[in-house]
Amino acid sequence: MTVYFDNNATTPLKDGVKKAMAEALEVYGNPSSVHACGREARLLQDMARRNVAAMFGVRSEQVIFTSSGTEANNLVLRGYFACPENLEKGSKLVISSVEHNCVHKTAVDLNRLNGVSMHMVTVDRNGIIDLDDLKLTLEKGNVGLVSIMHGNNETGVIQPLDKIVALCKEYGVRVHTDAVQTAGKVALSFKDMGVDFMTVSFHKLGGPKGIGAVIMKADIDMECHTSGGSQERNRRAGTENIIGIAGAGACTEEWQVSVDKMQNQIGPLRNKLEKGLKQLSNELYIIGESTNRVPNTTNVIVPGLEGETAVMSLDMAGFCVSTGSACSSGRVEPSRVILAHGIPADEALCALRISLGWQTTEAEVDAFLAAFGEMLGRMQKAS
Amino acid sequence: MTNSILDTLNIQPLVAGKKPEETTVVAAMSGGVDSSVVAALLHKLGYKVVGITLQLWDYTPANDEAEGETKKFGTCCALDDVYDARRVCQTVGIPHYVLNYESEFKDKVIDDFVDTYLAGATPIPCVRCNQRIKFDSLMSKAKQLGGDVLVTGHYVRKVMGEGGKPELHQGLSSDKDQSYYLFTTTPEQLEFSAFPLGDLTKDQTRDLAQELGLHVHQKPDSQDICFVPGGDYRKVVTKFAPEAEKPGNFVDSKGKVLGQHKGIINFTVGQRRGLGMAFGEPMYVTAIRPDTSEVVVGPKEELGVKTFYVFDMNWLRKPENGTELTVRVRAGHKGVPGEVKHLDDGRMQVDLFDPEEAVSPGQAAVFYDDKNLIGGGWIENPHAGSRKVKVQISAA
Ligand SMILES: Cc1ncc(COP(=O)(O)O)c(C=O)c1O
Repeated sequence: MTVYFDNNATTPLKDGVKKAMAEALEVYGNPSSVHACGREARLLQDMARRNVAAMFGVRSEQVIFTSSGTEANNLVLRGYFACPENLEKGSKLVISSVEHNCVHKTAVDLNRLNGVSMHMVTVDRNGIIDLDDLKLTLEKGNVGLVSIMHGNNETGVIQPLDKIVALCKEYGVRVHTDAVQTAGKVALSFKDMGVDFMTVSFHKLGGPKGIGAVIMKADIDMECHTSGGSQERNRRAGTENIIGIAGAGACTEEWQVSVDKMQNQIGPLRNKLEKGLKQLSNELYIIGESTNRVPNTTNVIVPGLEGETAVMSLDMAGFCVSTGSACSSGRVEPSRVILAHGIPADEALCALRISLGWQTTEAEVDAFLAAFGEMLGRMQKAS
Repeated sequence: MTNSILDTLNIQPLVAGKKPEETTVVAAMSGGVDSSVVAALLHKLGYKVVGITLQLWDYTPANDEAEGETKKFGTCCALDDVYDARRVCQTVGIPHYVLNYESEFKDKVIDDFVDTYLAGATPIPCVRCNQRIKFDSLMSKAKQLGGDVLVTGHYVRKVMGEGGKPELHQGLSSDKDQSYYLFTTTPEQLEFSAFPLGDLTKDQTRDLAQELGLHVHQKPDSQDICFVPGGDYRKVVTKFAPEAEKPGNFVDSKGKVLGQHKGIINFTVGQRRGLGMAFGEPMYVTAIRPDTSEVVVGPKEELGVKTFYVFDMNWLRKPENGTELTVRVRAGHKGVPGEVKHLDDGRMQVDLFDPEEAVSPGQAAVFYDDKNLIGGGWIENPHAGSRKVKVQISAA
């Protein structure tokens, strides 16, 4: 038996997604073609786009499909600053110190290659950004874009987006948010959030890997970062990934059910898990425990128990968890994101991310707690 | 089944008193045929096996964010080795993990490799890696993971001796014996280890690999030191220590200058070929003096050594002074008889019965009672001067 508690890395495909993708395998037309085969593909794509748009309360033309969340983030940041008019308004990019690498490294790249300066807003011990720092930075001027993630992939901590947006509005600065980890877990209305751009990735909510989207206000100037055809309203060239798009459409179809389940069933299971964990050890602590977090995520630190060792140990017992973002596994270095919380390096190395999924059961949580307790006992003996 | 090697094997329980299905085995897997067979075989025998491959070296070419020096070497086949280990574990149906020990490997193996050359000696990095990485860091990890025993694909035998104390014996097929490389194994480490291939020949291992359905069954043995792809160790050493290529003089045993050489790292005591100079008669390197960058050469007669000194001893069974033992002074050496004497400072004096050629500083002197490895130490460079201390410290 394998228990999968690494749903922030990726999720299993929903049944409806598998079905929609299997059907899309038969549709071979190019959606840009005029003829019958092209139309068939175009319709499939349009239907999927409408589903995605409906999930976030936007119109179809506000949805730009990309090859991943990573590409979507790159598209927004690079595409925005590649536009001379945007750059003129402000050449500074403001991000937080806990962004996913695909925002963090893109910001570093822009700084190096395009003369876009970067400011990184710090977070407190609970992972919440310093709003005073943000305000001060905006006040100094020359800010072109603020990109602050919604839910953090390692800790689940949700930023106070309403306050961030209000501040940025005050200074007339556009806002992007990476909502890859909140989409499908909490209800997201693009309009109510008030951001100008938002990134989602469908494999985090029961869809296939390799398909993401930018949700954006339709009238913002942005350069296409690939040159080619005029797909996706000139925002993203290249023949569309029809099968992936079909999967994206299917995974967003019953989004309300997913969100409700996350809030009403998985959240309580996560709380039970955390309560159980704390009973196992006095030194153990949970990052951002008292903060608003996505309902499925726990990042726990047991000082002295390296995350990497715990991942292997739990895997041997049949449980899949991770040390942080899946992309950085394989190298024993403390996570940049965990360090940004002011957690010392030796404890940051002990961070362990447990992320439940829509399929998680109470029995799985109980079994996990038992295995975790066993592991702690063994560690004590070995040391 | 017809003539399965499996039927002819007689593998004792790895942990006395524990059934295979209750025993968690951590297999150190290089991706080669030997360790692959070990993992697959033990799984077949019912053990709970976990494969671990160590990433010790960055195999990607220097490009992004050069993190430290180790990034700058070229590519080599090791990514394929990790792939092979992973594939074997997937075929067999056991977990597999890759542990990144690059920075430890740099500090504990590569730095020592470089220092040893600078001290006019010839290092054996594979021993350092066994001593400081596999049987140290990896072994602790294995214990933390709830492992009962660490297994490797070495051709050596763990034999129960008197009083239930395990002994480390040469592999049965003497041409494959790898005990020399494991002389630093302490009694505690040996207790927690097992070497299931010790009774086999390489051919038998390959046949087993085939029988077990492992795709690596014909994979050639690796020849190179893993961080010296292609065997050009000079490149590695001079990269970390450019002074190693400082030219110096060839001198004879009386100190007469015979010519110039291109740096002491090009030489090993006992070497005859590739001296880069014709001396009129066959000449051998008889000593290296790092402080003056002198390489001493002489005719074959001057090469013989009867008495030399060994430091940083490890004993599985400490011999009395004057015990007659078999001494091996390099990996391929069959061993010669000699006597040992403990010195007050912890070193050993070794007196061979007959002069031995090519007793090279930096190599190990390993002592055997017949097939039984009882201990060993590092051969000192008597001419290392101030460097001598450095090597001894870094070896501690
Ligand atoms: C917060 C966040 N942003 C972006 C990404 C990248 O998305 P993708 O895997 O689709 O490239 C991920 C997931 O890996 C993520 O967790």
